[in-house]
Amino acid sequence: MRRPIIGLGAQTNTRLHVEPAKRTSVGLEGAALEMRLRQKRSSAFVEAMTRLDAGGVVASKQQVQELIDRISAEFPELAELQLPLGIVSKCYLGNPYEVHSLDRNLAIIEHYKRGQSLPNGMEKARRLALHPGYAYIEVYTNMMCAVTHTGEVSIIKE
Amino acid sequence: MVNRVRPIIHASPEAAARMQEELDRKIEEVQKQTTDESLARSFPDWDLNPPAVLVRRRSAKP
Amino acid sequence: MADQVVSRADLSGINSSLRSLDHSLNTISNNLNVVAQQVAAVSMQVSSVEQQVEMTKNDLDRLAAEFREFVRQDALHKNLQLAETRLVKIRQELENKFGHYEEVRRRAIGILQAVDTSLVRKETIGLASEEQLLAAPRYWLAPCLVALSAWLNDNRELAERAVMEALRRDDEKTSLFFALVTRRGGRFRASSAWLERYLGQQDPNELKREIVVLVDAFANGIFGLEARKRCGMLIRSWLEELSQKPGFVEAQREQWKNALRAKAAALDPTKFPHLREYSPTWPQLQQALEGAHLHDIIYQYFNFILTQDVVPTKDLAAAVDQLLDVLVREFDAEELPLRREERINELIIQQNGDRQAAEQLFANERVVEERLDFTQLLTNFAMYPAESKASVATQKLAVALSKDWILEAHRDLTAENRNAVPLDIEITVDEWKGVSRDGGNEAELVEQLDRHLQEKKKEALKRNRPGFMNWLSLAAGLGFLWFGLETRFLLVVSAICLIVFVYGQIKSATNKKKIVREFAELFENHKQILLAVLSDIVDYRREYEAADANSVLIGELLEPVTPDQYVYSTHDSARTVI
Repeated sequence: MRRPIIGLGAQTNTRLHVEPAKRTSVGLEGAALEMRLRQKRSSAFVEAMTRLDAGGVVASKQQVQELIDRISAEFPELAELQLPLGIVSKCYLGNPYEVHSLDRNLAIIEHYKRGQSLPNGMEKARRLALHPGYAYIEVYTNMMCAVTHTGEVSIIKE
Repeated sequence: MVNRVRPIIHASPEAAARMQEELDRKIEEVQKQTTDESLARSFPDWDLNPPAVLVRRRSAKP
Repeated sequence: MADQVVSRADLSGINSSLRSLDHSLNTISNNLNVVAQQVAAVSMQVSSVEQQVEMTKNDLDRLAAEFREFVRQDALHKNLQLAETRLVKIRQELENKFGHYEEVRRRAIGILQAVDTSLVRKETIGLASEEQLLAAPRYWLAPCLVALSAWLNDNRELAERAVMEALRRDDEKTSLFFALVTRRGGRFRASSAWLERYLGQQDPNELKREIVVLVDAFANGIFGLEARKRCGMLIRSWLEELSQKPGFVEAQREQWKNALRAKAAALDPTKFPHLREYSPTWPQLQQALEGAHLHDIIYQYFNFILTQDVVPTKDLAAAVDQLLDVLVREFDAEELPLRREERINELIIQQNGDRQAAEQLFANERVVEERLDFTQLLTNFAMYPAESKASVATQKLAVALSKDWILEAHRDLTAENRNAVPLDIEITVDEWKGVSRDGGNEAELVEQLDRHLQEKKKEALKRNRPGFMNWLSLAAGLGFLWFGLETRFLLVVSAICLIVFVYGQIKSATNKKKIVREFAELFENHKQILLAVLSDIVDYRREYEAADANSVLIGELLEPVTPDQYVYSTHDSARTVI
C-alpha cells in the first residue's frame, strides 16, 4: 500500500508513542503475570479496541500502528513476548462480515466473513467475540482474555 | 435484557437500616441474657482497656 | 577204584570235634539270647530315659515361663513402686515450684463462677495486692487476677499496672482472658478492644481451633456491635496478607470455581425433545445451557444468604464462656514438663505398672493442636454451611470476605460457558444431515431435505425396475411360443414364462406407485421433524440468552458487600457504571 505523500503537513503528533527499546525483556512471571492480566482495562483502551473498523474495510498503516502502540502502552510491565498476539471483536461493517482481527505481529487488520477462518491461532476467539457480553477478546498463545465493556477481564486457558 | 423476577436484596436504604436496627436490638437482648449479672454489677464505672501500644504478632514459626 | 579203609579213629575224632562244635554253637546261641534280652532291657531303659528327658523339658519350660512371669511381675511391681515414689516426688516439686499457680487458678475460677455479688467480693479481698504477683513470678494469670480484682475494687492505678505486667508475661493469653471476662461482665467496648488485640496477634497461616468459635461469636454480635464491624475488618486484613503469598489467590479462585460448578442442576429431561433426539450436537448444547442456568442458581443462593435474618442465640455465648474456663484451667508452659511427668506416672499406677499401656493412653490424651487453613474455612462456611455448622452471620461474613474470589471465579466460569456454546447445530434425520445456527434457515434446509429424498427416491425406483430376469422370462416366453407352435408342451412353458413376465411388470408398476407414495410421506414426516427441531433451536437460543443474561446479577449483588456492612446491603449502592 502506498504511503500518502500529501496531507502529512505540520501535524502536532499528540498520540501515544512508546519506545520499544525501553520495554523490559523479563516481564512478569506466572502468577504475577496472570494477576496483571486480570486487572481492569482502561476505558480508553476498551473503546479503542472495539473500533477496529473505524478506518473502514481497509485501515491505514498509521491507524494500525497506533492501535498496536496502544496495546504496548496498556501493558508497560509485560515483555514483548507476553503481549497479546492479536485482538478479535465483532465486526459492525455489516453483511457478510462477522468478525475482525488486529494481528500484532503482521500489523494488519482483517475482516472475516461467516465460514472464513481466522489465521494464526485466532479462530478460537471467534465465539466469544460474537457474544454481546464482551467488547473484544485478547488472544495469547495459550489463553484468551475476554474483556467486557466496563473493562472487566475473564481468563480462559487452553 | 435482564429479566428480574426478584429485586436484589432490599429496595431502599431505609428498609436496610430498619433491619439493621432490628438485628442490633436482638443482639443486645441476647447480650443481656448471657451476661453474668453478679460480675457485671461488681464492676466500677470505668473500663479496663488494653493499652494503645502497637501489637506485634507472636513470632510466626515456619 | 582202590578200596580204602576208613579208620574209625579218624571218624571219632571228627565226631568229637563236631560234638564240641555243636556245643560251642549252643553256647553261642544261648549267649546271643542273653544279649538279645539285655538289648531289650537297655532299650526299655533308653525309652524310659527319653520319657524322663521329655518330662524334664516340660518342667524346664514351665519353670522358664514361671520365671519369666515372675520377672515380668517383678518388673511391673517395680514400675509401680517407682511410679508411686516418683509421683510423690513430682507432686512435691509441683507444690514447691508451682503450688501458687493452682491457688491462682482456684481463685480465678472462684470469681468467675460466683453467682452473687457478695461471693465475688469475698474472693477478691486479699487479692488486690502486689504480693500476689511475687508469689507466681512468671505465671500470666496471676497479674490478670490482680488486675481483675483491683478493677472490681475500683483501684484503677493498680489495675492498669497489673495489666501491663500481665501483658509483659503473655500478651496473647492476657488479651483473650480480658476479652472473655469483659464480655461475660457485659463490658462490650472493652471486650471489643481486647478481642481485637488478641486477633491482631494471630498468624493467619496457622490459626488455632478456637478461632472458629470466636469468629462465629463476633459475627453474631456476642462481643458487641463494635466488635462485629472491627473484627470483620481485621480478618479481611488477614486475607490481604495471605493474598501476598504466590499462588494463593489462584488457589482460592479454583476452589471457588469448583464450589460454584458443583451447584449446577441437570436440565429438565422433557425439554427440547426434538433437539435431543435429532441432533448429535445435543450433549454440548445441554451442558452449555445447564451452565447458563447456573447463574440464576448462584444468584439465588447468595441472595438467600445475604437476605436471611441473623438470629443471635445463647448457645454461642455459652461456647465462648467455655473458652474462658479452658483458658483459666490450662497449665502454664513452665509447669508442663512436670505436669506431663505427673500424668504419666498416674497412668502407670492406674495400669498397675504397665508402662507401655500407660504411654499409649497418655499419647491418646494429648489433644492434637490442629492448625487451620483459614481460607478453606471461609469457603466451607459460605458454600457448605450445614456441614461446617456455620451460623447465618458467619455465612454472610464469609461471603463478604471471599467476594473478590467469588466474582473472579464466576466471571471465568461465565466466559468458559459462553465459549462452549456450539455456534452450528447439526441435525440428523435418518440419513440426512443439515446444519443450523439459530433455526432461521428453514427454507434452505427444507430444500436440502427435499433434494436428498429425491435422490433416494430415484435410487429406490431404479432398484425397483424390472430386472434382467424379468426380461429374460419375456424372451423365454416368446422363444418358447415360437417353438411351442410345434410342441404343445412348450406352449405351456411359454405361457408360464409370459405370465411370470407380466406379473413382474405389474408388481414393478404397483411398487413404483408405492415407492412414490412412501417417499412423499417420508418427506412430509421428515419435514415435520425438521421444523420441530428448528423450532426447538429457536427456543433453545432464546432460553440460553435469557439464562446467560442473569450472569450480571451476581456482580450486582456482591459488589457492594463489605465485611463491615455485610449484613444488609442496599440496592441503591449497587449502581454500576456502563
